[in-house]
Amino acid sequence: MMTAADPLLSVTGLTKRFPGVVALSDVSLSVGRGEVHALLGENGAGKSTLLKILSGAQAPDEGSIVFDGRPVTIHSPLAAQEMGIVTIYQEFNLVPHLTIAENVFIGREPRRGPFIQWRRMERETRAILERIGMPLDPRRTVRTLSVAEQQMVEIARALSMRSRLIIMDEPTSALSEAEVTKLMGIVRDLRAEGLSIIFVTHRLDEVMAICDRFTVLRDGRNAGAGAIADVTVDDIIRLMVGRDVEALFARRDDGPTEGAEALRVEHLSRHGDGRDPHAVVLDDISLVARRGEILGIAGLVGSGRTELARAIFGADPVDRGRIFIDGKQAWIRAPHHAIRLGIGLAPEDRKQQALFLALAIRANISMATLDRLSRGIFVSEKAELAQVEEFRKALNIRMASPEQRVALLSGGNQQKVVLARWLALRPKILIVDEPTRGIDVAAKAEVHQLLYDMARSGIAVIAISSELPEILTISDRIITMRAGRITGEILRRDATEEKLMRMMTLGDTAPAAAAE
Amino acid sequence: MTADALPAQRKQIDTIGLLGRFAPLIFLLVLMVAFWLAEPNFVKPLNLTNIVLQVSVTGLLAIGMTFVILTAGIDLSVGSLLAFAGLVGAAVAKGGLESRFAVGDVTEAAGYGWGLAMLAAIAVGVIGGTLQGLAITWLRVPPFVVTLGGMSVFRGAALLFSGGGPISGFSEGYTMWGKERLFRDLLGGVGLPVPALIFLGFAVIAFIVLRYTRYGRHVYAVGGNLEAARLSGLNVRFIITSVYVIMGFFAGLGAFVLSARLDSAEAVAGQGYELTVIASVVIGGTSLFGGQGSVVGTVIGALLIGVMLNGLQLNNVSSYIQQIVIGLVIVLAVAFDLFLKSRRKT
Amino acid sequence: MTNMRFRFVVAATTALLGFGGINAQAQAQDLTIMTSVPSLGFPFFVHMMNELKAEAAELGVATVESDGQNSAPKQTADVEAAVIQGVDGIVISPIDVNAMAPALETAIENGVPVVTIDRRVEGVEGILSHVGADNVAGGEAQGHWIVETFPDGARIVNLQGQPGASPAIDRNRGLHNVLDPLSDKYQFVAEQTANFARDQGLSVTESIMAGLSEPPDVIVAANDDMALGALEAITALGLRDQVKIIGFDALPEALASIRDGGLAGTVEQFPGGQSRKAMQVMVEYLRNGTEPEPVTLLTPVMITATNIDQAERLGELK
Repeated sequence: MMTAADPLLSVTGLTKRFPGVVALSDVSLSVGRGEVHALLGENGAGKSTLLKILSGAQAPDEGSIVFDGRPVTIHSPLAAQEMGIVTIYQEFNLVPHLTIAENVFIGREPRRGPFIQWRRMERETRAILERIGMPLDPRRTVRTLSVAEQQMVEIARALSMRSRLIIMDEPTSALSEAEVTKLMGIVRDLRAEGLSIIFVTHRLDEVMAICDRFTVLRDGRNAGAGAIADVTVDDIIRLMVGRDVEALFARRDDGPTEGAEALRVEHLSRHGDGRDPHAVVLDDISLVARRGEILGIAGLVGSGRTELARAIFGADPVDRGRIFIDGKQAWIRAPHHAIRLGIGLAPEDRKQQALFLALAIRANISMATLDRLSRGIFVSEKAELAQVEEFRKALNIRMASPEQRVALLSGGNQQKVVLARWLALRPKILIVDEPTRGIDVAAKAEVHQLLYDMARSGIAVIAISSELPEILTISDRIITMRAGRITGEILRRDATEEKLMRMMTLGDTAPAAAAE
Repeated sequence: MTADALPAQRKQIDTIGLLGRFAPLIFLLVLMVAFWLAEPNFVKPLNLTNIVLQVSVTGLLAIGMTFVILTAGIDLSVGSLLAFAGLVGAAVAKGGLESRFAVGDVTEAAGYGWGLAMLAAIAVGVIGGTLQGLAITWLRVPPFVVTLGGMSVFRGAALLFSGGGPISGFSEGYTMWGKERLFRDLLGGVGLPVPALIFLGFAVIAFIVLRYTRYGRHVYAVGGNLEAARLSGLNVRFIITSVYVIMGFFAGLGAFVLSARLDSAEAVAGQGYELTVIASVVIGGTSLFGGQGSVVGTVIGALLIGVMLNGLQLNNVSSYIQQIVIGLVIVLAVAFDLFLKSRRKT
Repeated sequence: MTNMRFRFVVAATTALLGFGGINAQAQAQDLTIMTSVPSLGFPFFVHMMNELKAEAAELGVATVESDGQNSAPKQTADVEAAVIQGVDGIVISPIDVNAMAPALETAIENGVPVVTIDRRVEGVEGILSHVGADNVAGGEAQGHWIVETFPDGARIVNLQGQPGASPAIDRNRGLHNVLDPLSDKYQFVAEQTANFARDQGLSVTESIMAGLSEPPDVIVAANDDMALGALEAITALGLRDQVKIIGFDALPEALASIRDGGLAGTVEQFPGGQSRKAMQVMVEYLRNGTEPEPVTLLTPVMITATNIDQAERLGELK
């Protein structure tokens, strides 16, 4: 393993304790100049704590940080910025109703006397945006931007601060493949300009594509470090999970293609809200999902894949179209109608749309099945606990007790709790939207196995994902979407990432509606 | 980082968790000891039962408000709705507005008795609450705005209904719901005031509903995460509407108890109650953002306010100083609760 | 759908607002007088307003009513609107001695004469006349009654009005004016505010009684609502025969209670008489130019069971 000869950032012996937990123990990290450094590890490995210390949000208990040859103490986020260390978090710190330029220069507006120099601010913002190949109008409000564009604004802000080290926390988790490619290009350009970048991600293909060196954390300790060129994805996974890759999910068959029809959608259409430029319209969607199969839906952000799921589930209104369950026409105007008909939806955003963070695991799992678990108006605690136990075993949910608040679980275990809620319903049709977003490799494999087992037990599973490898791993059959329309259908055994990408980005559709 | 990773630490975390859960209670006990030391009469059974009696009406409202605030809502109209409901109930008891000042059973023969009066008061509360709940769920006007409007509408309705004057002089059957003490052999012959028993009885019912029923679980879910509740198949419109109906029920019941206690219903009754009631709920540890809290906390919060007022009056503290002390204690009580809760998280 | 909802809300709001504002009555009369009271939420002021209207009707003038809704800005806005509307005179019971001064000054500058009832405004030049009862004198009447009823001295509980309100301050001052010089015989064992409210009169009395080793001889309240609340507390304790309670304002309910042996007394300030007098003074000035006395004070009278027929609102009892 090599270390940079003259590192920009050198961290040694870093230890951080929280009441009852040692979050980091004797951790080292060395980032060279002009280097893209991957910081890897499962959820809970200590990455977040390390990032917080580097960005000045928390102070370490022990250890030293050397930045640009000088030992430093990072007292506050402001101090970190002044040194040239800027962190771009998963949840952006942008003010939605301000313009791009205002966001880039927020708190540091160029002034003459008490007056803000708007022209100068916009000129400089435009220059930075052009530098990263994103020629957006600096006067647009951030609210009207896509997620990827918002990320570019964050990067522009980092650049405007003349930063020397940019830390990106899961920058690609909300981006489509095309947007990821674009981000990669920008990261390469920044590296060429001599900036150093710490790249935190769960997507190892990205790591292999763009990073120079890596550091893996496991359980708050260094698990390994080195040059990307010297290792394979399997090597890294082994370092991260501490066990062999064979344990991870691997498919054994191609799945049925002629099961009984569970769901049929005919000519489903939804006109967006005219006032919202990002409203996605569903345009004449027809599809069939069969028992026992996993139907994958692939599409870029904004293709309408999530909107399709929500429309089928009754979460959003539709203007036209019919839905048949087991061949019978169904009337679905609200989620509780869909649930009564045996449809479940594990939504895209766990924390915003699925979990009750303040409630116990027990209550989170039972929320959709309380009717069944009740005697009269009372919830049977016994039945509820039995249910938790059933799914704790079946899904291998790691928890301290059923009374534990779900907020305290890791992302992977939270996702299992969400899945357990829907499995408990014994649905005929289960729609999962981004089932593994933001969860670590090992948990991901478990979720994949689960979806596979559910399908084989006779449920029609519809899986939506922006990660093509995931779609290719779990689906039996794949439908691609673009701009609210279905652009193609392909069996997994015939599909490759290239073919899917072509179907998602080209297709036979009219030009994209969102012309910006 | 998560608690499941560290079973050895669980015990310690639970101790802090336990302290956090009982923060308002601890605060209440400390306050009571302080008053006891300042004025020994404070702990006389008569005085202690008086405190529960004095908070029973705002306490009843606070039980309803707990449901509302658990869904991240608010109801500012409680005091006005209480005044209106009380007047309607009183008019039913008296058989109209003509004999409003006549005293005792004589005139109530013309009326419809306390039973119908109570039902009428509760009906007015429930209807008022239902209308507000529907405005919130179907017109999608925020609860703060709907109930701010309701506060004015119901007060106006009360004034209009009564012409500004009070209705007083009820039969014993009526006033016994506010004045009687039961179990006279308890507490050295002091007994337990009926309003206090009503308050505590409904607190127990509300506790059971919130803690053990499906409906209670739905209330917490809607307040904790509205979208997740909807996507879990809960009928969120029904649930949100229902909490305002429950609030209305308690406003009507509170109105009946208050008029029985005062032997009078007035259009100006319940002015400023909304603040006392919301304070009781919040002091009890229920989050204004919804999804967290309990009726037990609310009862303690209501008692805390009652103890404070009573203790200060008992010690003959100047009313100017009282206001300052009360304000500070409210902030301190919530700060103490939040402090222990934040400890629980790590 | 959304649009219809919006229209509904607009319509509803307009309808609601329509109820507010100033409600001009019959146009036929030659003069229009604005009548304004602090709050029609209190029976005392409702009575005052009713008497104003009745006197106006007898004198053949039109009135424009205003309810201050216990808010000085609301009453100010009403006065300003009335001036613009071109009323001939303003008869007002101001909410606040200071806060209402600017609005009434504006009215006078615009040539609209102002007569105040019950409460004065301070620092305004050119108020045509003030008709009122002296709250201090009313408090003194309560004090004198105590001295007469308990010549050998008494232990007194004092329920004060809303802190900061001028009637509360003045009534309290009057009471102390009489009793403080005799403090060796008359002792205030507790003094607490009950904010002029009946429920607080009840609960504050309960608390005070728990703290006293023996019951007081008399409870003095700064209004009848608090006195009636205290009566409930005392009755519950079974002390109705031992503790005498007096109130203030001579509300019909208090009169009924005095008649039936509840309250011992109340203070009559003749709000109706004040109102009628104020209206007469105003109309006389407008019609004939008669300059009235700058201040007319009606002497408050202590009403007990023996002289209850002097009470103005006895007729409201059934």
